[in-house]
Amino acid sequence: MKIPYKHLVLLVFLYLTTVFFAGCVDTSVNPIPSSIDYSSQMKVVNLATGAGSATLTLNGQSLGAVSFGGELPSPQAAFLTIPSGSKTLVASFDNGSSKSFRFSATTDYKFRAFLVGSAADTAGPSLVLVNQRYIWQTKDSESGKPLFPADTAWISVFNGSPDIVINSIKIGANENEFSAPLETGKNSSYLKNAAGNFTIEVTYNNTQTLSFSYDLSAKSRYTIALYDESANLKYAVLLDD
Amino acid sequence: MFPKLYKIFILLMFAVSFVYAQNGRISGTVTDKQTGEPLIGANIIVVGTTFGAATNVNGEYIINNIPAGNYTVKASYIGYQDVTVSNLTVNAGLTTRLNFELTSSQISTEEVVIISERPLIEKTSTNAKRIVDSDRLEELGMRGVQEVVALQPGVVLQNGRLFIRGSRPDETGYTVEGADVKDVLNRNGGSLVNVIPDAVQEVSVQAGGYTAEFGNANAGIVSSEFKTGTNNYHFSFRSETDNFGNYPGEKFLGTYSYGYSSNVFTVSGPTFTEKLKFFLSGENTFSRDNPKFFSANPERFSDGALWDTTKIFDTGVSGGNKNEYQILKWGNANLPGNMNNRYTANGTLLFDNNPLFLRLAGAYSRTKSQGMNNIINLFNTDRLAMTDVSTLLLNLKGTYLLGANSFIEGLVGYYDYRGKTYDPMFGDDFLSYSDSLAASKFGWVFSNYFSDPADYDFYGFPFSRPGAVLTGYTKDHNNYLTASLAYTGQVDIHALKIGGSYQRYTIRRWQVGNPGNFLSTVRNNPDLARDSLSTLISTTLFANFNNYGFDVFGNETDEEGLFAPKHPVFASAYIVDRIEISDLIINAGLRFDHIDMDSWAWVDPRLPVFDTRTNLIPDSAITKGDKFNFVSPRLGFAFPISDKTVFHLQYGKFVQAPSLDIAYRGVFIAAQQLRSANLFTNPIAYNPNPIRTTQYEVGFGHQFSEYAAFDVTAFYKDIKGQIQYAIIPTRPGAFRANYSAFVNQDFATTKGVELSLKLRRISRVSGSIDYTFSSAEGTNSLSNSGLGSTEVNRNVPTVLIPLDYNQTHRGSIFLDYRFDKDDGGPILERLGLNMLLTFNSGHPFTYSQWTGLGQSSAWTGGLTPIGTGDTRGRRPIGPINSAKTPWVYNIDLRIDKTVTIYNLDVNFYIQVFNLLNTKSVINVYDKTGNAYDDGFLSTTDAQTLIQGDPGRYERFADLYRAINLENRQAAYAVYGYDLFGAPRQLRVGVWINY
Repeated sequence: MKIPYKHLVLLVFLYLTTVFFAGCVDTSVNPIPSSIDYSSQMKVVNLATGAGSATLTLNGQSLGAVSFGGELPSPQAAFLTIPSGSKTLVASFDNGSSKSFRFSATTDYKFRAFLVGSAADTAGPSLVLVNQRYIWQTKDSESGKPLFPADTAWISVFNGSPDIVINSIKIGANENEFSAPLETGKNSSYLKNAAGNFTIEVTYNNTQTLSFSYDLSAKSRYTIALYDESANLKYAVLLDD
Repeated sequence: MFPKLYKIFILLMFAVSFVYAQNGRISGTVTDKQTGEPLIGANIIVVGTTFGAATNVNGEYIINNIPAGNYTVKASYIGYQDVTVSNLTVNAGLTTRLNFELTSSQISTEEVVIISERPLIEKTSTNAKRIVDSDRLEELGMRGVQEVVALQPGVVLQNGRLFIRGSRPDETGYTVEGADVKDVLNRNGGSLVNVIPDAVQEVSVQAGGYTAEFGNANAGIVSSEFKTGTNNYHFSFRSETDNFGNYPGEKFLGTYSYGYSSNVFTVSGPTFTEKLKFFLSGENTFSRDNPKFFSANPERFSDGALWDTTKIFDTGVSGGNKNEYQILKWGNANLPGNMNNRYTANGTLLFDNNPLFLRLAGAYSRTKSQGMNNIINLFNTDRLAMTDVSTLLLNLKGTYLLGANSFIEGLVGYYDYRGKTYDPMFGDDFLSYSDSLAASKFGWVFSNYFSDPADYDFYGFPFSRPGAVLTGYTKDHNNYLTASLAYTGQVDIHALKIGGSYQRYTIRRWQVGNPGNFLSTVRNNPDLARDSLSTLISTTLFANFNNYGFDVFGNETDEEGLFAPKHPVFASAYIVDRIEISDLIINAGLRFDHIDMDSWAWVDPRLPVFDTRTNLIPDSAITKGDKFNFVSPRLGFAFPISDKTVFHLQYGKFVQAPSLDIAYRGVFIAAQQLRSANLFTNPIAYNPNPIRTTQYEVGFGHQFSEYAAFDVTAFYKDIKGQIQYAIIPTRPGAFRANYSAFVNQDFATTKGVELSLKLRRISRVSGSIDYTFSSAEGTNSLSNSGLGSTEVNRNVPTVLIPLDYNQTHRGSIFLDYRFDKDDGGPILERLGLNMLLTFNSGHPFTYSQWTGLGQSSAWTGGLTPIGTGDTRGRRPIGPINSAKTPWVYNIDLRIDKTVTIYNLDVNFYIQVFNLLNTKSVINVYDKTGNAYDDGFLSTTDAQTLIQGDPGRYERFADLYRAINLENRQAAYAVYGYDLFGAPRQLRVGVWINY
């Protein structure tokens, strides 16, 4: 079929237009999205003395119950991934009290939220957030390498007891004395130690000690939380990584 | 369906038409050679086209609307021998005179063939119009239109900007194929379209005085016309380079390589049918090192230790690690990280279906360029901003011949510009620019999640550390639609042209700086980042955002309101009566311009309003700027004093919009400029008015031999309403006592004489001499030249001073010596040699002094106390611009030789720019008036600096001498240009033609 050249002109025009437009700079790509959704990871640890178990809701969504000295999600479960930003955590305790906490989940951070204090306090328990690391600093990642050296474990100490101060921690032969004793709701930085089975001895209230044995795994990080009143002091070894 | 589409298409095209219908025409008479009697009804045809005409009762003929080019024209009449004139040049916008004298076939039986030569003086032009055709372009060997234009009388090229007859760069208009391609958004002027020299039929420069069909350019118009497809197939290929394996920094025949290469092809011929002819050209040009420096390498410390073996340690003052070091080293005569890579295509498609002619022209280019423009980024070239730009012009022009002497022209044109500037490592992913996690993949160490590496401090020089963020992100998408309609009719001696045009732009910009601030803010506000990022931007990040035509996220929007695109509109109507009485030509015209800049205006300019709650200027305080209507008369005469002398006289009023970049800002950055107490050297023009010019021109041309002619043109211009920085006082009660803005405040008076001498080839020699004497005076040179004076003294300059770009004497001499075919023997045959000498008498500058470093870093201490563009701390010594830089001379040389290999003409050539490798001083330091010493090291400021902290500034003076005094790097970084002209460059090339 012979195409009339009047039509051919139009066809050539359209063809050239298409070819050249395809070679133009693409300005339709947006350099920023219309919404940026950051996330955080958290676990809640119930160290509120004398209040019993706590039933938790986060921003109105039920998380379940966590026993005194326990954590939610459970030790075997992964940290809860949540959108970063403003949060409201409501804790309803077995003793009938209930308290609402407002906090901000820091962008990209993995953290624990500790319920600390005594049920006897008029203000009730308080919430303490302890950031651990960026969520992308995993054991397998390039950026996580410095945090997880081979044959090494990291230990942090958290004071969840309402009436003690923590003076030092001794892991095997390594004794680390805190320049300022850790008061209630305070934690130490991560302390580096060789992996292996060690006797861990925590000195509190200047003279008293709590001692236990624990098998520290390589490339792992732990938080040793002391909780309950001094007369009945307990500990929990929380696996962070 | 298809036929309907076709009809709609044709109707659409003729519903509108073209602004600058710039074809030429041929006119003349046909007479009996013996008796001189006119021959009535003789046929004149343009061979190979459908153009033609028959003579009237007076033996006269006119062939209208012929595309610029070289043609063969044939006259025939029954009983007479045919006469053929070949190589006849038709120029856009001009009439080519061609008279035939036919011999009776009873006397002669052989056809007469004449080879036409270009006339030495243009008898039909009523203004000074300089035309550079493709032959001269080839002889000059320049690869850019701007360099060719700069050789023309009345034109000054200074520091990359083009000034015509003392006007500012944004007053020069550009057309390509008749389409208006002036960059209306750039106060430095320029064309929106890249033109391949091999694709150009001719470039013309009208330094004012043009007829009423031209507008929106007060100073001059540079027009380029592409070649038209030929009747037979032709192709050419050109390749040229300056690469001789002498990189980096090594000399070859006394020159350095700048990594330059250019490869061009052209192809033309008929397609499908002889009525459809195409011309297509493609080019790639690459330049590895854009700035071309003399000895840009600090070779030695003062104690003799080589830089390239000496570690320079960070002093840690800027927060970096003191144990880190670099070796300061780069190749001679270049700086790494400056490249330009461009692909260009130009083409035309002509459909010759008399009486309908359609001409589709296209110009496309894609350019990627990277320029660090700053020595302190030497160790961080990976993150230098990349600019990626594409331009596309599509022009469909149609002509329909209504009768023997009347036709209608129409055009629809579309232009599209898209550009992005970004970090080449992360491209469009702006969020990653300052993201330490993303940076760590390249080995860059940030000080925290969003804080890039601190600068090195090398004896007071702040060199950027690898990985430091060097750019924000910008994207632009501009386009325009243009259309026009023109009718031309010949009534007796009147060639009447009536037309109108309409051009509507859509201008969009999305520009965000400070990626570190953006990232830290969104990370610290995750709720708003997720749920309402736009709120976060408008409440916290607004100062970083400059967007219109795009919403804050970068989506194109056409909605009215905060982020509406800008839609400037330029419309015109004109009437031109070209009266040709024998050789006397009168161009009388009237032009109506409608200019809608789509600017902002304050409801009350003395009471600006700013809402601190929303960070916005409320709608109630701001309104659309004015729309302007002007009528501009134009009158020109061209008439002969004798058969070899022509006189022309011209008067005209011209009006144009200022460059619109001064008026366009996003709402956020506009509010930020208003609320902040900081100095903005680039404020907004609220409701700017057009710039108006009145020009007078008188000139005459005289052909004093068969081979030589000269023309002299004198001009005088009054320019009013040029843009200048100003401080606007406000009323009591306003939230600020004053604010800064660009306003129509400057005026200028320019005058001069242009001399042009042309020598047609004789005894193998051709040449030209062009010279301009000019006096350009005004209240300020450029739009922010008055900033220092206005800010410091609140004095608005009102006295006339010599303008920065007034080169009182400027000119060029071009000589070409060439052996023709069968001339000079086998060695010299078709060998050519030409030389171009250019000179100018320098330009004005002001001796200045200042004390203190102010906000300036020590390494730029010799320039101003504050830095780029801020002249508040500078004090003049003596009248402004009363001193002058030295005279500048330059010689370029080109040698070429053509040989025929099979059916191919192969032209080999060598081109040498700055043959003598003259280290020409083209700019000077304000403090000393020379280009070798900025005077800083001898000031007490420098001495105090060094003695006050000898540990940090231990070798500051050595480094300062090496980087700034020997290599002008601070000046190059701050001013954007060198103080010396380019050194010698050597290029070789081959050009193959079939």
